[in-house]
Amino acid sequence: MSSYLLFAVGILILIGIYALLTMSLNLKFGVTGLIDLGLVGYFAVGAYTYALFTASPPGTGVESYNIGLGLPLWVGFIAAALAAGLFSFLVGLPALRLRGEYLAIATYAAAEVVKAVASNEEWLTNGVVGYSGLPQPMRGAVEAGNSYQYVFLAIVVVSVVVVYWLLRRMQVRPFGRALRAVRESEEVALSVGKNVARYRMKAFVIGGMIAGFAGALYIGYTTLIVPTMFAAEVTWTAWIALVIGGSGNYRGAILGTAILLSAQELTRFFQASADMASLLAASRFVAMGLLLVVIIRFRPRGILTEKTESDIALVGD
Amino acid sequence: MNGNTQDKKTRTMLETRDVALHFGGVKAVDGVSLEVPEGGIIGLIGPNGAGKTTLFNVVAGFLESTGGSVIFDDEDITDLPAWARVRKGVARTFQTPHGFPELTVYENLMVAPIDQEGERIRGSLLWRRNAVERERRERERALELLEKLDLYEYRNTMVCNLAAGDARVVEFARQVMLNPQLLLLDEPAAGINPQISDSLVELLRELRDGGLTLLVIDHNLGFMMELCDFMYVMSAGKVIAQGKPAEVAKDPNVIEAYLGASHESTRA
Repeated sequence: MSSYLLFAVGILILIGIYALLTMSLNLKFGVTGLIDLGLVGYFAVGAYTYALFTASPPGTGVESYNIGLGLPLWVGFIAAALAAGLFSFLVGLPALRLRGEYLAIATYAAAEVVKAVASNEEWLTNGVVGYSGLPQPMRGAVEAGNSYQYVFLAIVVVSVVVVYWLLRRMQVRPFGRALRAVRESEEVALSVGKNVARYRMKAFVIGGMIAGFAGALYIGYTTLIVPTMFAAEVTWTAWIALVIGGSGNYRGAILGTAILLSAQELTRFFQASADMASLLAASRFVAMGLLLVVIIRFRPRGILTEKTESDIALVGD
Repeated sequence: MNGNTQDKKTRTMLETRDVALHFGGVKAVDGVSLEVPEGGIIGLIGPNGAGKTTLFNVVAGFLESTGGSVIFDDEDITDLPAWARVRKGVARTFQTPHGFPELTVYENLMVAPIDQEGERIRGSLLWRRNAVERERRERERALELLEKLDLYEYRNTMVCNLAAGDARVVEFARQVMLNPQLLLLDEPAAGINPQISDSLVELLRELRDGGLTLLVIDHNLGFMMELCDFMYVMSAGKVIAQGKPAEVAKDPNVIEAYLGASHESTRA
């Protein structure tokens, strides 16, 4: 029984971490209209920053890596968000001049660069070996054993709630209204005096910071980091989740992530004979594809849709 | 440069000096100089392809001119980006009024006001009294304006679901929300039913009396004759005539530009 429970907790943790990523995509794409196919890049930058900042200094054990600052974990989390934000800013400077699919290509390329650096710059990232045995937040809060999972789940839930609350607050206020205006028409936004480039950059950097924080959380969970963890699949997962849940709606982003990841994880339970196993494994992806097709056919805007602001929403009568 | 019939005491709000925009060999705007006095309602007419909208785009900063300068309120704004010009007080409407399609009519209006505290990240998170009060003030203005323009009942409708004429009125209302000093209106009466167009003339006059200066493009000559104090006529990128509406209507150049064009089109 308790092993099922732990499995469920594991899924919930994964859902939480991906929900952060999907919410960051919702800020960029759902609210502001930026097509970002490089989510995994900021995620990776955050993850590596966390690893470099929190790993114990090299030379004390069998570690082969060069850099380990051994700083407190909270410093690692903040540094992860800041580094991913800075990276977003640097990517955004040239890339945000591009529109639509060109922006998509540029961001995708940026993420590929991160992955290449992670695999090849061994002095920095320890290459394909990466880091393992990284410290976990609040590990000392419980006795050794499985119950730490619950602590980590609590950390993830608090993170999701706080990020949701902040993003939601921004969205329903004039800042979010301006971002949605930028999404709807850059030209018209310019005609009402909005510095469109700056709004796009703000959304891009905040979104990047959230993704970076999610990356750090992910590493805090897995305790190891290797370049193969940062494949483009991470980006696609967030995109599919957002399309399912409803672009423009943060609750939809969370819901879509929950549906997609639980469907993916629960189908692991299907039993099959050995010769059927590979077929079954492949059919999971078919099932994901079907889910997406059905959603797009019957609810093209996702399960939950963006809410417009009625004339009494903000200040009331 | 004060050579027109306006009273010399009035300040010049907008001046274009020899503004040109050449696309390769095509001279869309070819050395246009015009003056818009403060508090005036100035018309800009001319046949299709005369360069009126292109001139608007240059004045508003949506197209970069290839020559000449744009002076607004004694300041050279030729090199300012579009959004910065709006913040100085130059607003424009678009010929095809898409607005923000998936924002409600109310939201379309509420996006406009300049320098809302809540538009900054900090301001939106803190949402302090200043920000809330600003929102409340703008909301009152927006709803009042919508009532005046007969759009109150559509306030929570997305702009993409409006009839074209209503969308045009929203386009106009949104730019009025900016409280501009100068408003460039690109065909405000096109596709609007005559009843609304009368109330539009009335509202434009009211805004003028409140200190707004207007530069208007429209094809509807009746509407323009009734509305404008002074008119410029453009053809093939140049100003070919200017004067009071009644004078302009009799100008042989103008008659030729309009009729000449239609003669050719009937022959073709």
